[in-house]
Parts: sequence; C-alpha cells; structure tokens
Amino acid sequence: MTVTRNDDGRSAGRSPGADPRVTAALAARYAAPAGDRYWDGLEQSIMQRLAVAATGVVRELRPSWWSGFAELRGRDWRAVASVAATIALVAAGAAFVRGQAASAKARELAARAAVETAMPLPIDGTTLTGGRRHLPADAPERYLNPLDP
Amino acid sequence: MGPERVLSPEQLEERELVLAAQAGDSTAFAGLVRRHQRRAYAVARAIVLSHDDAEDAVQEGFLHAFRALERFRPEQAFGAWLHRIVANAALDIARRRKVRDADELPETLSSPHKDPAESDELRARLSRALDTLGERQRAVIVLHDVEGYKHAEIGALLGIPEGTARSDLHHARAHLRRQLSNLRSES
Repeated sequence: MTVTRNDDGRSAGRSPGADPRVTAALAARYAAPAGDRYWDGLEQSIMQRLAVAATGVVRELRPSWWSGFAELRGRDWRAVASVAATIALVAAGAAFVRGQAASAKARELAARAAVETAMPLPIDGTTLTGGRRHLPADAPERYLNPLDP
Repeated sequence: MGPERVLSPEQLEERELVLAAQAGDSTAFAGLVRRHQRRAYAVARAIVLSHDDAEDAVQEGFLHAFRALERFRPEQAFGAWLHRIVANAALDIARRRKVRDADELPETLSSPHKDPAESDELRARLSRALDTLGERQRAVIVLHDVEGYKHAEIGALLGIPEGTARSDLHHARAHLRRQLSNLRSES
C-alpha cells in the first residue's frame, strides 16, 4: 500500500519550531493510503453502512403490534384490564363446568365398574344350557300366571 | 442582517450537495463523502493508533453525520462540522482501546528519506518516542505539524482549550526532540 500526504493547501510540515525530519517521519507514519481504488472502496463501504442504517430507521418507524401499548393512558388501561378480567372469569367458569361434567362421568363409570365386579356375568355356556334343561314343564304357564298354585 | 458571505464555486457546489443530501439524495451525500473522506481519515489517524481504527472512525463519523444531517445548518462549513464528528468518533475508539498494542509502522509505507539506514533508525526511534508520548499530545503534534491545523482548530477537534493545544504541542515537540537528540545523522 502506498501512502500520500493529505495536503490540501494547509501549511503542513512548515510550522515554526517543528523539526522537519521528525515532521517528515510523522507524515510517513500517519499518511493516508494513496490510490483511488482505496478511497472508492471506503466510499462504497460508507454508503453501504448508510443504506443499512437507513433500512434500520424505516424498520424502527414501522408500527409493531405492541407499539399501541405505549399510547394507552390510565383510563384506557382500566378498560383493558376490565375486559381481560371478564374474559378470565368466563374462561374459569367454562373450565369449572367442564370439570364437573368430567367428574360426574367418572363417578358413573366407577359405579358401573363396581357393580360389574360384584356380579360377574354368567359366561359359562354349560351353566346356561343346564339351567334350561331342568325347567318344569309348566314353566310358561307359571310365568303367565305366577299367583296360581 | 449581516452581509452575505461570498462563497467560492467549490463552496457553492458543496452547499448544493448538502442541501440535496438533506432532502434525501444519497448520491449527493456520496459526493460529500468523496470530498471529505481523505481529510476525515487524516483527522482520525492523528487520534487513533492504527489504520484500521482510523478507517472505523471515518465510517462511524460519516454515519453520525448522516443521522444528524437535518440539524446541520448549510451556512456552516460542512468540513469543520464533519471533522469534529469524526474526531469524536476517533476519540471514542481511542478510549475503548485501553491496551495500547504495538503501533509498528507497516513495511509497505514509503518514506521521504533518502538514506534507508537513517530512515530506519529514525522510524524506530520515533516509534518508541511516540509510544511514550501521551495520546492527546501525539494527536496535537500530528494535527499541527503534519496536517497543518491551527491551535484553535485542534482545540475544537479534540474538545480542549486552545491554550491546552498550544501547551501540548510544545511538550510533545520537546519530548520528541529529547528522544531523538542523538541520532546518528546528527553526530
């Protein structure tokens, strides 16, 4: 990288009291890069950063869904709070009713299970057919007239 | 109302660029960047310790200037306003760089000296002498003796009184003179 002085007509290096050799060494040490390519590149970098910054500004200006909260005043906040409380109350009531229904159904199922456990169904085919085999011959008449002797 | 300041064609052109940039013309702002980036770099380089930091300061400075452009009054000198912003950006970077790393002169830098041996020795001694110099004094001597700024301008750039800039320059020169007093070429 070659370097050059940024001399635009100022009295650089000619200050009274300055050591010319030291000034020249300082100038070499602190000289800006020479060559238009470097400065064109720096200009492009700067403009790209500006473009990014400008995009950020536009994004900042675009309203977000939460940006409305900042504009709410005390009275508005009370209205929002009452609406939220109402919604919460309704939701809690619905949850309570649903819970009651669920527990009633559970109780019914438990009771049915208990009955079925205590009185098992006769699933033995032999017993069923055997029982029928010993029915008295006048069974239909007894069924129809149970008070007859 | 005071008398109108007579502007040179260059100043008129710059004012037009400023007005256009303030109206949102990015091409006009690019024109301002092109005009002022070298001088802005020189200001930043006098304050920070490395080329990379100077480049960062220039970019930061132009970014701040762009954001503050609507507050700039076109009758002011844009360069002075911009350089103050760049100097502030450079001072911020310098403050962040608490650890002073070696500020070696890049090998690729050219030297105005004819004798390479003297040049190398002077550069090495100067590098050591600058390392022992206060940051503000180093900035003042570079801005004054290399870049040609006046004491008042340096004071405005660095945010110090003009008398302090004058005093810093005196002490910096004396310090460098002591450190470089017995160079081979002087004997």
